[in-house]
Amino acid sequence: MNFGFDLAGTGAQTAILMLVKLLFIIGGALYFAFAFVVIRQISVMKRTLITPLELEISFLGWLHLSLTTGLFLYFVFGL
Amino acid sequence: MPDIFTSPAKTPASPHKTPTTKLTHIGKVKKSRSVDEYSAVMRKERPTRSHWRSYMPKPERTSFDTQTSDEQIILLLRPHPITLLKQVVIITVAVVLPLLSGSSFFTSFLPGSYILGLNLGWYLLTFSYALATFLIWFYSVFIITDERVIDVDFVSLLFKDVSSAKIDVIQDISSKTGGFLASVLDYGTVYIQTAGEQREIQFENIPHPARVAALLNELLLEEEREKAEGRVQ
Repeated sequence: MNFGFDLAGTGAQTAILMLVKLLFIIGGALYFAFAFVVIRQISVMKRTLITPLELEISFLGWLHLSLTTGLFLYFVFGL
Repeated sequence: MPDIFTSPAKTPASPHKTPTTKLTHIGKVKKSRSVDEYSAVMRKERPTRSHWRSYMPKPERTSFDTQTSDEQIILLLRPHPITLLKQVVIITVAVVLPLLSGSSFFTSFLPGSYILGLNLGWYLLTFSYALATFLIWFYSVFIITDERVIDVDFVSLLFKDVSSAKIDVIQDISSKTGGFLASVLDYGTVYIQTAGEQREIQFENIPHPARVAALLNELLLEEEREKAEGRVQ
């Protein structure tokens, strides 16, 4: 589907792609903030119930933050 | 009635079998019995070493933030894993969907790098959902100690609700199991009516609800026995 007209090579296509990229970056930034909240919340959870699995669960939180950071950087520099 | 209660001479094999010594407000040393001495339910259970289970009697190397030094965790419960079935289906569909969908509205008009970004974002969202589901399940626990019942409820990643009641304010305990899966897998809800500020505490979708209700009744009886024998703090 191409809206019934060809956007290839036109200024309209560039504008739309810039808008989409901007939306991706805003979404990525919000998601990045959410990943930080997850890290914070994991530390609250770990304080609430203390088990020997703290290291593994922290790792999951930091992995999530790392992946989110990678995606945000891809949205900024890779698009 | 003796001031000091002396438990029968037994060799303690685990921390849960060691009678705890408590100092009362009048400075007299009193002893509370270990759970195996008065609970037929707990006597059959071995201490739990695994931390992934939803029914954990006498969990080892586990504590919680408001636990006092002489308070022992008797039973730690989580919702039965089968209650996560809906989330597991959602995650599975979310993983498979981009592979099955092929060309769509977006893919026909966006360049390849944007499509890759969309797919990466989709899988990251799926990972976030799976992580949140696991964390909420793992940390939303029901704890029964020799002093209190505690319900730690993480409604979402951002909302935490903790309610607790002392054993001696419990007025009524009932359990309910309903539905095909719940009957087959033996999980259900335990309702605890209290005289405290928190009128009712619910342990929802926990394994072996009848066994948990029986344990709570035993704890309640022991609490009354402690009061009658003057062993209460």
